[in-house]
Amino acid sequence: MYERGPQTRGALLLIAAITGSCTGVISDGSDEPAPDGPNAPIGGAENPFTCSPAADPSPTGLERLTERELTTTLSDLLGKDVAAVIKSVLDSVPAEAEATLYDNISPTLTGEHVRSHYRVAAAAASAVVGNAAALTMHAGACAAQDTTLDQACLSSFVKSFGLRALRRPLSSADEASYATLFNAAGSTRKRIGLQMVIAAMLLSPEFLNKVEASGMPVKGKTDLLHLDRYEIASRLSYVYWGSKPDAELFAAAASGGLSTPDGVGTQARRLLASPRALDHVRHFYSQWLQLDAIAGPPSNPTFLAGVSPTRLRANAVAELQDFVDHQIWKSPGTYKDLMTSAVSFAKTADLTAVYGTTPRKGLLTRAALLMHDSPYTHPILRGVRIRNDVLCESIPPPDPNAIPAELLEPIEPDPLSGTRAAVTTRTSSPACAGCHGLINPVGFAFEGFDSIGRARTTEKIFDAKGKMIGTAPVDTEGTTMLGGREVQLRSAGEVAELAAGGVQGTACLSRHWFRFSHGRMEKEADGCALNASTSALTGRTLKDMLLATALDPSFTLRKVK
Amino acid sequence: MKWDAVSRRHLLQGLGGFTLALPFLPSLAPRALAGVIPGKRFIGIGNSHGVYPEWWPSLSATQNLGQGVYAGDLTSVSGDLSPIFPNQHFGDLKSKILFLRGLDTCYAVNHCRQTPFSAGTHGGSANSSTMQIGSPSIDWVIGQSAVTYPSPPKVRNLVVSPDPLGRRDGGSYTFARTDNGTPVVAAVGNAQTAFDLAFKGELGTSDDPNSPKADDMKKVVDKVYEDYKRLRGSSRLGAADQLRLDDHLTHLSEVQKQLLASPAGAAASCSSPIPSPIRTTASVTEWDQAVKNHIDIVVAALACGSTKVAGIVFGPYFEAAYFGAKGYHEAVSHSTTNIEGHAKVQGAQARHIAYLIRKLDSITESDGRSLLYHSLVMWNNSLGKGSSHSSKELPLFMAGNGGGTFTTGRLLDYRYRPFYKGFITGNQYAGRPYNQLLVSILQAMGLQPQEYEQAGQPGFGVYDGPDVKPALDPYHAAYKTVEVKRAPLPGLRD
Repeated sequence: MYERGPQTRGALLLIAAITGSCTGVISDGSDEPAPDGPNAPIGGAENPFTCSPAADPSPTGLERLTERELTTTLSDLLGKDVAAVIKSVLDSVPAEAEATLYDNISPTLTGEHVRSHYRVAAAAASAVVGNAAALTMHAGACAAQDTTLDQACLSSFVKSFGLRALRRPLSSADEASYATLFNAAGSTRKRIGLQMVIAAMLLSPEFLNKVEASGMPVKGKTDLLHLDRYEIASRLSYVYWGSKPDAELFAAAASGGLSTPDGVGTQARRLLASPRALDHVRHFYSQWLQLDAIAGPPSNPTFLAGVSPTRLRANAVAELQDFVDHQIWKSPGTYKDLMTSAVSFAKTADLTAVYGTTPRKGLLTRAALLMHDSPYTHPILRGVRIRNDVLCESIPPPDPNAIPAELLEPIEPDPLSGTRAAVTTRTSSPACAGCHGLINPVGFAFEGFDSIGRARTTEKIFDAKGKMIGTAPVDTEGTTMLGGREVQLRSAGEVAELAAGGVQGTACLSRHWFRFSHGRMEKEADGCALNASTSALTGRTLKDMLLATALDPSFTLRKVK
Repeated sequence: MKWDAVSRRHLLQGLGGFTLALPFLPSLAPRALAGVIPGKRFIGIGNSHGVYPEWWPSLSATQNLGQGVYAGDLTSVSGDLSPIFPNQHFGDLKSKILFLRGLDTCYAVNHCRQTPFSAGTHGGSANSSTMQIGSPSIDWVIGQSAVTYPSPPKVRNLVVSPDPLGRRDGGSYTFARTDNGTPVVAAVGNAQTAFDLAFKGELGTSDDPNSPKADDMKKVVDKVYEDYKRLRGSSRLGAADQLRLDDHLTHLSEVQKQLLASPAGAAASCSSPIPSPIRTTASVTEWDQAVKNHIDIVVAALACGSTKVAGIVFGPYFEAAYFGAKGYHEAVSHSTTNIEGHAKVQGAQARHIAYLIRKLDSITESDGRSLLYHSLVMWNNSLGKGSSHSSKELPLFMAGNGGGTFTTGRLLDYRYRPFYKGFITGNQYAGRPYNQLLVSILQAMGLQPQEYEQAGQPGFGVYDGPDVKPALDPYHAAYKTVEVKRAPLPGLRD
């Protein structure tokens, strides 16, 4: 609920940090010399990640289930009926902090998390035992009455439910400890005892965290573990589904089907073929592209010129998702397709009116990514998105110490010269020019689209009451440093082509997928995994990049943190 | 403070007011609160993105109270105090409210998401994740104090974010940490959840004979605690993992204590389900009712002793609903001209706060004074002037007397005289650190410095932000002595 709005971010990004922080070349780490020519691909063609097979992967810490993972896991574990009953309690679980783009990277634990986990566990236990169908499904008919809920009935339940909840077979000691808890309720309150057992499992550290502490050390090392087969099953299911393993994955773990790279690959392909992977990968790229933060459209009817704003944002986001899903799952597309394909999924009148007859070139010119809650575009936000999120450059946020307060006032375009001129003027001081020399030209290349994504050749200027008071010509051309050399940009399509053709874009997408799939930031020691996914993305398809994660040898290892 | 004096029937009769839109607290109050020892309550109301200058009462503070404080009498204004505080809603409340002008954050511009109830600064970065350094929020500090709660309450901090659709806004302004942290308490958007939290407690103890009692659940948590300890001892976890598990163990230990403090059945007389008002769309009328529902729950929780510290968050859903269209943030919050849009949203917030004040005032406690008298209501924003992202002249509105520690009916102006713009753009003037108000409230609630001063630093929070330059802000130095930092704001009780 805080200051996440694009206006704020835009205002702050408006003013670049001190000049020195944005001068020179910003690359993704590649030392390859850039090919000559204005349209050469960004970042060259060589995979920038170095794989040293003998090196250990980076350490992985104990990961707590995120709010989303907890919700999905509980739904899969308990069934949708029980999940619906506990929804309002689940809603009280705090959302994850915004430390990074991804909700699963270093989520902070607070007391409210623990209390809400307690409430969820208690509510879920009550809902299972209070629902005859759910109780029978999880514990068998014997659990329906105190008279038949004996030790054998309990033991059967603890084994089966425990496996699914804790995501590993329970030991005899585990079973005994749950039986002790069950018996503590007393012989006349067995169903209460069953609730206590369920609540304890749902509060267990092995339910609430992705615990990987059962594997054997790699020969000669104490801090590098082979994951055991159930831990591999959990990694697979959380990477591709964001939830617990299903019955087939548990069965594969039990039968030794995950003991070989081929077996892991087989299950990974199966998980990726499921619609559940589509949902989870959507969650990935929605965070990568910050779809939740998209604001708009503006409400000015003169600006909208008949385009209904009511559902435009939702329809634009849906079209982007359909497009990306198509490239990943249906096409199956390459990174170049993602960046340059003109396929459109505009199905509604509002979006059709926005797109008109001008073909869209790839992801970056979709209406959702061009939208802003103002009649005016935000070239700075557009430029920063490309630089930081698509090319993984590091345009730093501005330093408030270097910002004169008046530079934070909203930019009002001049009726005669328009947004580009206003942005240029505002960012021309020495304190701003370093970063904005990199940001603005990229953003200006997208000026051929207005703030709901319509193609345009002139910009309309409005007064404070929304009345149009002038027009300004649109200028999309500029020169800037990209991939270590100076390039001339003339259009958004040209930016897309440049990104699509070089390794900087594919390496960047690989980095982001790594962060999401591993729940941590990449480090130098992760070169093999990144090298593999970037190679998959460069030579093959987007889906191959997803699969490469599970096929990499480091997938079944854990370096102790 | 016990709830036993209230029968279940009376509570249900009262709760009928939620759905029937009938006032319930007056009927509840005489029997509910007889014999209950009054205590001080704090209600923090927060929102973001600043205000327009027209938010402030059109009143000159000309009475010199000394120590640089000037006062104006709100009751002397016969017309509307401002477009946000019209006579229609505030005409009879002028003697019960208080405006404080000229209280500043320690940074010049920019959001700091902790600001409404804490004194921090941004971390030198525009990234929201680093814009939160300084102090925990006072509602959290008050809620953790043994002075506030000699014995564990149902809920230490009850924070709601009213929403007829039951959505969450994802956060609150309640922070426990001084560095980059997430809000420690989730703002509850669902009325049923808020009710359960208020009357069943943070752990949701149940009076259902078919559910485990607190003693049973204590055994569950004890087992889970042992599971965590066993996992922590694993040689296959690293030091960082062990620290995470330590954190979890600490919080679990708190749950154990809460369960020990909540004997089975204690919540019975307060527990009863009400329909969850979950729908897929909501009109402004429904929003009005939803906000009233949440306020009723908050007031009932404060009145019956379920909590002494409450929070109300007006978030983006509220803004969109009352603005009537998308784009409130862009079109209004930081616009220099859209006063109508501003009045729609902040006017609605003020109207609901007027309802809260009347509710608090309608309840007479055992000493014959109102719940409002014993309460401190504070409404604040993350910014001062929204159009310029200025963090000066925070829009501080208060109500209630804090048990006699705050005098109402006035506008207190702390801006330095003669007015000095310093580095501030627009018509805003330098004042004194906002921190001093937070110290005043903490002291009014009975807290001692050792409960709120951090690492022995005098006062509360950060006094020197990264972008406040002494050469441009010469007057603040006078307010940063140890003596002033530890003293309440002058004029509050005069």
